[in-house]
Amino acid sequence: MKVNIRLAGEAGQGIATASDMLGLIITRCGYWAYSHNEAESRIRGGLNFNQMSCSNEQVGAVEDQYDILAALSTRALETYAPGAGEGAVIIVGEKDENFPAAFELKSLAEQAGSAKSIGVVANGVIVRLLGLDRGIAETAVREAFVGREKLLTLNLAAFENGYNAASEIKTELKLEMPPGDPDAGRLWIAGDEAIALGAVAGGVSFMAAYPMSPSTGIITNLARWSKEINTVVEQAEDEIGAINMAVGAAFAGARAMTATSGGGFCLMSEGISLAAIAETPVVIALAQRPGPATGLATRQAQGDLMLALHSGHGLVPRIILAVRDVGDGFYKTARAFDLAEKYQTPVIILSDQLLMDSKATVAPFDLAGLPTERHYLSVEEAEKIDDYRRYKYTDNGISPFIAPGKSSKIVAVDSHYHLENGTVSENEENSAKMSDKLRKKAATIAGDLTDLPLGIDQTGGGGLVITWGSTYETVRAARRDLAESGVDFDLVNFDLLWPMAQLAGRIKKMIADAKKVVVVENNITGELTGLLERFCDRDLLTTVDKTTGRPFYRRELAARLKEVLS
Amino acid sequence: MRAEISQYKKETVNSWCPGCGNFAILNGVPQALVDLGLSPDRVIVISDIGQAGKMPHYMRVNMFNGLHGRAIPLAVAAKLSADDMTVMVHLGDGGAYGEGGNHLLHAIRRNIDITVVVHDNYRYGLTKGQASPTTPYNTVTSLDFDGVKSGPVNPLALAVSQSCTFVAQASSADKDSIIEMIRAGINHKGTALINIKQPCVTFDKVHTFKYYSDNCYRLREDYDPTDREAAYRLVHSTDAKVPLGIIYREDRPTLDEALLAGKNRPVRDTPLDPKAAEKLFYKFR
Repeated sequence: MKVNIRLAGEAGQGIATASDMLGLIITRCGYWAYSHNEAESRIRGGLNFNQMSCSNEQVGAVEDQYDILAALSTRALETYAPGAGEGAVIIVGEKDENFPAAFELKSLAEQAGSAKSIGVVANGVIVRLLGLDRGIAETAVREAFVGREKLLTLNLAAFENGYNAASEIKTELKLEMPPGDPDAGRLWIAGDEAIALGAVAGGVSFMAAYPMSPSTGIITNLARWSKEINTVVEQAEDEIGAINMAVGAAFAGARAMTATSGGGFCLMSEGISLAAIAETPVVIALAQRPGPATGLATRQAQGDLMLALHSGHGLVPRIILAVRDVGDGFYKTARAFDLAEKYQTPVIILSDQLLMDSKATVAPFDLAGLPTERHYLSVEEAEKIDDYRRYKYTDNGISPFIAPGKSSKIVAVDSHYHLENGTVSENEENSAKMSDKLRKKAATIAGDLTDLPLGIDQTGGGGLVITWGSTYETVRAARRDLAESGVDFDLVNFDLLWPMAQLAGRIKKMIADAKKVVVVENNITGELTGLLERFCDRDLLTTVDKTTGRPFYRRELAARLKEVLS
Repeated sequence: MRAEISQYKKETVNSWCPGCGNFAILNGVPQALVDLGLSPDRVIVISDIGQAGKMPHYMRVNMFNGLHGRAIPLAVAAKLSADDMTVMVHLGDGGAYGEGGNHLLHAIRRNIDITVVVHDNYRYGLTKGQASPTTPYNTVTSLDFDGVKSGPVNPLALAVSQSCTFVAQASSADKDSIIEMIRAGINHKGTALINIKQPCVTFDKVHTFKYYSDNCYRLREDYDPTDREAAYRLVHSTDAKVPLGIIYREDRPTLDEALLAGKNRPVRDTPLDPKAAEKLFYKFR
């Protein structure tokens, strides 16, 4: 069972706070919530909304229809009421003659003590409609105002007003949730929070970044938690500073990270190239948004795959991972630190605005499979080496590393082509060896990363749909819809976007075997489509794209896939 | 490990021009480090690209020769990650005041315990003689055939105006000034900027060793480097003479102290423990 709720109004009306509280209540009551926001790039004014699904099963698809609409302003009401689902409950924020309603949220808020509590009043109504536990809900309200007595009293009153008023609502829709699982201990967490938490699990000890939507949440959360983690967090003066700081920290033996969006990542290009030749691990979170240049600063796209693949001149033995959903961000990020250090190379984690700003109920993260060992020489091992050379030539292209000052060994790192001991050299014979070393490293990575290729949902249907990043969950939901009308397809999600050549055979066969192949991606340029073209005939691929800066919605996606696959 | 000059010696082929002003710095740095009891394993020298950037390759010491203009961010992060190490940066006037100008400005803001040594020779030597940000107006260079038409940066004034907590100048024409200022800069807690005036024997026929010998002077005993007004006057002086010594000095809390307070140090030694994330789960329940 799933109920879709839209909470809409002007920026500054407290929609984010109210929806966050509602998602927490749903989670604590033992259900699953998934929400995303759409907002204009403003601090005050401008329409925005939170779109939330509440279900007794895990949810993650992006919806644009709603069974309950709480419209806090007149403009929100006039804009979104027409699009509400059949028989939807419309909760009116401000009286409007075109939308007769039993009560008005604004008055209930003012009766409680302040118009500003309108979002909490709405929550009271919604909690009642969903049949959620009142005690759990009120505890959540209380916690939001701890230490602020006046506001606490006011908001509890606001919640009560909403809860009571809800009894006046008559609806044919089945909105009350079946019994939930409140002892499951699930987490209500945002995409950017999950990535930051994954970094903590991955051992991040140095984070530097320059604020840029939608990536800013990663450094902000690490900074917020900085008293509870042994991590240095520093706001960089610019993105070039950020990437070079991450490389410097890694050189000194820390586990280093930076985060940015497309424009900032462009600035980091030379730094990525530096990490490749210096052979310093670095984790770079690239949270995508529409480009080119400033593009749509607070909107959705997944258009930077080729940028991630080609940034940094010369041979950069990189790894690119794409985050599939909020919970996946935790595991991918933790894994990224392990891979970066093992291969002493940059690892890029691709996410996007939709994912970063979404919140979801997730099962508590399972730490059991996560690494607990670093990949460096211990002091004892290092001291045993007679003539330590940082860039010693090895069979797999990876040279054992110990950070400077941890042992008596001297560590020389360089951005030029260099000898084994790090001294700059143009010598032709050595240049051949160094080029070979970088190639070997790239080959080693490709040979090892066969366990992170594709997530596959196969039913043996006629068509094949390929996704990457946050579109996966919405396509999966659309697939369930279409199965009901007899349209079926295999679904393959690319978790690892690079290296890919080692999967060439599998990819080629998968595409050739399918009746029709559709790549669903939210960009103008057909990023993954273009990458797959290296492994198959271009004519075999059809791209379903979106170029408006909005996420794919389940309904439209189901309709488009049905059309393309029929 | 006891510190000795011989520990810093490395067998290499040097590619600087004979008589280059860099040699005085290459010889002075190990002396300063040994005077402070620092052996090579306790020191990190970070440089960028240029003739100055080659310096750590000619020494036996922990080093990172990074990208042009980007030595300072490497050093800031290295210091924050391994704060038990002595971190020193060597840049040319191009890397420090041009390509890397923004990073220098912010290193001054940060007041982080690193020592930034600028090899200021008014030219880009490695790329064959273009102007640097400090080249005097109207100087003919290998790119400005009619002479440089932009005014030079005044790095000492910039540093003093931004309250850099240690600003000093030395010269390759006065070898001892290099050793003394580097010692003092490393001892200073906070960002230490040491501008070293040196001749470029190949591309600058005006500012020769003789020019510097004739025009450099040591700041007098009665010059008080904690006197801001005196420093302002000194760095804005139109006098052609080149002051050597500590120009300005103050004590201010450092970024490394602030960010590392309450942390287990050095932060690079943090054990890898995924449970650190579990401890934060309560924030999401």
